Formats: sequence, C-alpha cells, structure tokens
Amino acid sequence: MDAKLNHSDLSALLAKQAEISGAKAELFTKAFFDIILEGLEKDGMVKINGLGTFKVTDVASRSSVNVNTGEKIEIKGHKKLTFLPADALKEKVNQPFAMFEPVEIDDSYVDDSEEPAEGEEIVQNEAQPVADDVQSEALPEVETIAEEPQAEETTTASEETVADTAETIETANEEIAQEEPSIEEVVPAAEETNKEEQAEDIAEEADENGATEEAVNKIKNSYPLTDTAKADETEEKKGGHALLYTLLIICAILIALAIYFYPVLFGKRDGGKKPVAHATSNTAPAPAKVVETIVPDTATVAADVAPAPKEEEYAFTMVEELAARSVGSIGRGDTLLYVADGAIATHTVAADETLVRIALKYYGDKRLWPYIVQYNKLDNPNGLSKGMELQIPRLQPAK
Amino acid sequence: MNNKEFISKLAKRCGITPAEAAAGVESFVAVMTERLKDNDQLNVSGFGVFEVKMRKERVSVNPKSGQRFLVPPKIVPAFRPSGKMKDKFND
Repeated sequence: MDAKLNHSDLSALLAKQAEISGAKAELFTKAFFDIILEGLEKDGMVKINGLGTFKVTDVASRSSVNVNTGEKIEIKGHKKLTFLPADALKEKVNQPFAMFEPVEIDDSYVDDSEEPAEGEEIVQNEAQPVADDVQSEALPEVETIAEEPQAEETTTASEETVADTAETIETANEEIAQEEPSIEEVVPAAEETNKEEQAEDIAEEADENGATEEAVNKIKNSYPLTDTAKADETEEKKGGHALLYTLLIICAILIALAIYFYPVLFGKRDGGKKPVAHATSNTAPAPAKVVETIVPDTATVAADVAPAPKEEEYAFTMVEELAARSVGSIGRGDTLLYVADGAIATHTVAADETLVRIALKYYGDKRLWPYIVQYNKLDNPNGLSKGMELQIPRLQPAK
Repeated sequence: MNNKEFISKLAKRCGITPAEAAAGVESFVAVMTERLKDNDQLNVSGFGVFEVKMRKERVSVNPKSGQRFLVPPKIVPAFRPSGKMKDKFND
C-alpha cells in the first residue's frame, strides 16, 4: 500500500510467486529490464504481453520562452521513452472504479426551486381592508366609490374626495364668517359631508327656520364635486395608511367645527328665541313660510350671533341709509340689532302685499320685516289683510 | 521487438527454455500488476518508475452531437523513465 518497492523487493516477490530461488529471481528481473532496454535501443519498441508496450517516440523541436528571462528559446527535438499499458493491466488497476460508466448529462434539467410569486395577491389583500376602513369611517360619497372593484384606486379616490370635501368645508366656513345669522344653513352643509344622518337632522332643524333650501343646494353641490374628484383622481396611487391618517385628521377637524358651532346654535334655541332667518340667497323662502317660522312675541328680535365689531361697522342711524344700501349687499353679514324709535310712516296694506315686501319698500332690506310685526303688535303675521294700516317704525341700531 | 522475441532473448540470457521464460514473465507481470493494484510504486533503478495515477471525473462533450457525458474517475498505470534512460536515447 503506497509503498515504494525497489528492484530487490520485486525479485523477492517474484521468487515467492514463481517458487524459485531469490538469486534466480533477481537474475531474471535484471535480465528482464536489460532486454527491454536493448530492444528499445534496437527497434525502438518492446511489447510485453500483459504489461504493455514501451516505445521510443520522437518529440519535435518547439519554441518556448524562458520563464525567468523572457527570452525565446528553442527546445530541440529529442526522443523519449513512453509506456502504453496493456488493457489487462489497465483493467486490473482500475478495478475499484470498474463499475462506473460515462453518463450522459441531460441539458433539460432545470432547478425548479422557485415558487410562483404571490405579490399581487398580497397587495390586493392588504388594500382591501384599507378600503373597508374607509367605508366604515368615511363619507357617504366614499362608500359609493369604495364599492368599485379596484381597491387601490378607490382608496386614492376616496382620499381625494376627502380633500375635496375639505374644500367645501372651507368654503362653508368662509360663508360662516360672512353671514353669521345663517350658521344654521352653513353648518348643515358641512355636517352633511361628514355624516349624512347628522346632516339630515340639522337640515330638519334648519327647515324650521326656513333655511332648508340653501342646505339642500349645498348638498347637491357637494355631490357633483365629489363625483368629478372621483373621476379625475383615480389615476393617482398612494399608500393606504397615509389615507387613513388624512381621514382621521379631517374627521377631527369636522368634529371640532361642530363642537364649536353647536353651542352658538342651540344655546340660542334653548333661550326660547328663535333667530330670525335672514334669507341670504336668491332662493329665499316664500314670505308666507317665513311668517310661520317667526315667533311674534320675541321682545327684541334677535337676528344675529355676530361679534361686536360688526355692529360698529354697520352703525346706521338713518332709515334712509338703510334704504340706500343696495339690495345686492343685503344678506352679507347684516347682524345688527335695531330698536324702534317712533314711526316714520303709516302704510296701508295693498292687496297681495306681504310684510317682506313692505320691509323692502321702507328699509331696503326685506329681512327687517319682524320689526314691523313687533311695532304693530300683530298677533298673526300671516294675517295681513287689504286696507290694514301699519305703523312703520324708525329703526336705530341697538347699543 | 514483440513478445515472442522478448521471451526468446530472455530465455537465452537466463539459460532457461522459452517456456520457462514465458512462465517467468507471466509471473513477474502478475507480481507487478498486484503491486500496482495496491497503489505501490515500483522503482527500477536505471530504468524507471511504475506507478498508478488517479484521473478525476470530468465532463466531455461530443463535438458532433453536442451530447455531454460525465466521465467517471479512473485509475491508470503510468511509467516514468529514469534520467539515464532519457539521455540514452538522445545520444
């Protein structure tokens, strides 16, 4: 095993194998290799059965490079001794690996360790709950949008819808700032975008004050806005979490607004005084309806919830000045309280004449008709009859 | 020089009959084969070294058909001539 045997070892083995003396075996082996050498020198080849063939082969001259100096050198042609082992020898030596045979490799073998990707499904599964949350939290408009099949787009669309709703709320707030008496009208519009039920409640309350129409108009206006937003913004795609946060923030703002304005609204109502509904738009309620809503015995007609500075701003003392105000400016934040100071005229009611028309004629402001009712102590404001004489009071701003 | 010539010369050199020489050669080749099978290295001074070498497995490609074959490892006998032998043939 991995031993190095020399000539004498081989001779000893041969003596043992051939059952001859050691000296004879040594002679034999020596003659064996000597004769091979002689045969090679003579014929250039020696063939021994079972062992192989020794051959002297010519090696052609070739050019090479000295690895140390880089010079080109020519290796001269020479002869060398080669040995071709016999098949029997090869077979016996290769016996440990004899069972192996060349195997053809199949090129079609593919390592199919990869599994089909499920990324898209995961994305959809994640996006769906977001849409559900939106449905549960958000506006009625959002609900209709969220029912669309593609969740990602709906979330974005609802986000934009929320943003648009915020815009409407902002505009509503501006109107609040401008016309304080009309809070009932504006707030329902804002609330409606938040929750429809709440909006309906407030709208009913507002109906008592004859302000339903404007609220309804705002409702109608808000829907087209959101529709266009839905159509325009569906292309954008954003994360669902950002949408949730945005929704929460907007809801918080809406709730804060509601809390801020509710005491103003209902505090007055609890006091037993219904605020005078100043019709601010062209779609003013019919005069008859307005007359119904007004409580005649309001001692000082409270037409405003306005802050003090506006009173100074509109410190009109003369009825002429009141009448001089253009009709177009009416309804823009007139929050003054007036007191009656004597009569300036006596008016005979004509046929089909209403208190609103009389107020418009004498004061230039149709919203001031309750003062006429108050001054004449009318029991039924709707009960104007032809030929009735009314005292038109001189109005001075209360301080 | 073929096997027959070799045996006759060997018989003549050793003073034995060619049959005996042939038997002797056969025995000696058997001994050498056994030794090589056991990974032994046979040093014959003035002649060369008989040994075995391990050839590792490899992939061969049939250039015509493009088929690829995995050729198994194998053990091959080898002979290295001694330095003296080299010089002898180049004189």
